[in-house]
Amino acid sequence: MTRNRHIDIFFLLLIIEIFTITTLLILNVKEITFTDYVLYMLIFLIIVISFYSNLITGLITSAFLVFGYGSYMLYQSLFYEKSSIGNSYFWIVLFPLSAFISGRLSDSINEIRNKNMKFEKQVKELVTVDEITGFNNIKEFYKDLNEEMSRSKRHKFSLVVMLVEIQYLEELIGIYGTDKINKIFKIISNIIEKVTRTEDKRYKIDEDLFAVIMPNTDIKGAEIVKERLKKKLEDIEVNHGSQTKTYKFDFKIAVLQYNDRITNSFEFKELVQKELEYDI
Amino acid sequence: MGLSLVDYLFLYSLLSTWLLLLMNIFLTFSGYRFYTISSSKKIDILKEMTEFPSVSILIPAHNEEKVIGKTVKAMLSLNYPEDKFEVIVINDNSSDDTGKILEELKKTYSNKNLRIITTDKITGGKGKSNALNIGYQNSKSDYIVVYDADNTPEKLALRYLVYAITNSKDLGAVIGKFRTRNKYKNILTRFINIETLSFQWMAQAGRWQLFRLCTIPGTNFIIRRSVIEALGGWDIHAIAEDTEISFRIYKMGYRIGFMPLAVTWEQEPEKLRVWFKQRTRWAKGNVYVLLKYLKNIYREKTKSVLFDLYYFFSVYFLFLSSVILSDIIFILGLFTDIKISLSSNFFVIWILAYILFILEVSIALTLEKGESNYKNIILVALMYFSYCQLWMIVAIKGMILYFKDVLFKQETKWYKTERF
Repeated sequence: MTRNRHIDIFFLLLIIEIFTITTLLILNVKEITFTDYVLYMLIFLIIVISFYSNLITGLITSAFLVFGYGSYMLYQSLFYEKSSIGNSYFWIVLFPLSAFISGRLSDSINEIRNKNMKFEKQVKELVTVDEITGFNNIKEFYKDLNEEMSRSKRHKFSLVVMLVEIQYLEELIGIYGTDKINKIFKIISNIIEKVTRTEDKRYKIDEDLFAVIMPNTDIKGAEIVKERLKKKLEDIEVNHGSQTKTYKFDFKIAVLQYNDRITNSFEFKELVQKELEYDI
Repeated sequence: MGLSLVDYLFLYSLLSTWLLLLMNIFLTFSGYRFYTISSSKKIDILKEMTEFPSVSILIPAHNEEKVIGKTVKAMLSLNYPEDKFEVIVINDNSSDDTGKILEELKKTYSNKNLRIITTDKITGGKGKSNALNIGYQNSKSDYIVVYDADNTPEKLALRYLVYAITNSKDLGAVIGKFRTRNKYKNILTRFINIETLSFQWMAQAGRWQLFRLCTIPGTNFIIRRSVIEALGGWDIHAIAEDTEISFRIYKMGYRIGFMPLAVTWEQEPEKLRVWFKQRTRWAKGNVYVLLKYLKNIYREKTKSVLFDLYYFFSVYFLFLSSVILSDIIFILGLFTDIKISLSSNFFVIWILAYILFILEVSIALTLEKGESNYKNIILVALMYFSYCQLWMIVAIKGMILYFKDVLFKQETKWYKTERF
């Protein structure tokens, strides 16, 4: 949490610095030379370089500029005796200062960005439940499917996997918007829950794909469930406040029974997914 | 505008300071380049390393009872196949308990390749170079590694050194990085910590990036046996044997590489008196090397030698003389009528030098994890007025001592750094 403060502090410092330089230039507007203007531009260049690369690159750039400008000052004071170097020190100090403030600001922002990315990745790894439907996700699906497959192999139980695919999801989101689609997903998940038995396991394994693992079920029983589900999904009723709206969506549903030729859960899922193509 | 002699002297000191600033800014930049290049190459040293040549670790020890025990233990626990490396401690004419401690270690670690060579007044006691020569003659391995008696290398340090040298045929030697173990002890060790880090990132890494050039720091380096054989061992007259041998390695056409991942932690002087003696010896040794090679500079063809000569020359003669000159001119201007007509630029170069110093050292510190903090930056700002000024005295004293030795034909004696 302390890091958040850093961004505030360095942003404020940067604004103050720019404000101060600009104010000083405006107040001394009669004495300003073209050199001062070039230096003013260089300050902004350093701020940008330092912000978009990193602190060290910014500092090194400012070191080169300090050296270059210092050498110019030396040359001036050696060969043009009249030249005054009064406010030149001001610029020499400002170069590294600008690089530092802007570099630290960008470092602090990047730190938060990286942290965020790390957290997102961790959350993805840890989460096993789909937020909207409350069903388990694909990770749990494979884990459970493996278990069920080995159980069915050992005890000669029959096992069926059913997949439910919503057609044209992207277009639907385009038409109805994410919020409404999420609501519809919730209703679909309720329907699936009602149609299947309690001991069946339900998952949402992709954006547009639901899966049900049905232990102790053979293909005949599964076909009945499939037909029942299809019927229920024909009309989806959604409550919007007082009025109820009915939606018609296209679904593809496929069921496949486990057999000994299927070696692993990935293959099993692939085969069921292939079955989806025949559900017309 | 008529320029007087004082003006010319002043111009000279201005110019040489300016040149040194220019050189350092490029060194910093190249140090950073080296850092980015070397950190983009990720080496998984435990998996990628397949060949393990035999290695002899030499540790010269002269009255090192305070540190030798821990050092030897650290060496024996290095991550390297046990039958492929041996540790040779040269107990060089010690009058304290070093020998006793070593004997006990030998008993405890009887299953490891630990060898102890003890010398007395007649066979040894002639300094580090001589001790190293004795150790090297008693070893058989293809590669020689040298550590000082106060070092604690990290477990993988040896692997990194071997990996670096076996993977490049034109490297005659590879040096690692040294860090300060007692950096929090007092302000002197904090200064030394900052100094060693900036030296390694600017002078070592920077020079390597620019000219493929590094100087052996006296500890934590690996060298091919064939190279030492060709050189005929270490030069026992050199006081700074590391700088001397570096020069001879360049002349053979080999390079010295820098491997920042091979880290050793060493103890730095905690007292100003000890620091002063150690540094005076280094300065004296560098002057020895500089003059030895400067004599034949017109015949010199090895570019790296030329650059290093220029480097040492600019540090020890150009810069030192210009600092002294400008100080004298400043004082003269205060108390007498002798004034320079080229006024005002005094302050320009001074401010320039100060700001660049802080910037460059801070950049070097940023390259080292955990060293770039506000405390250190403040220390850097202070360092310029305190620690760095001491260097001037050291350099002058070193030179005086060197010329005294030459004049009176004294035998160079090796002052051993006191331990804490």
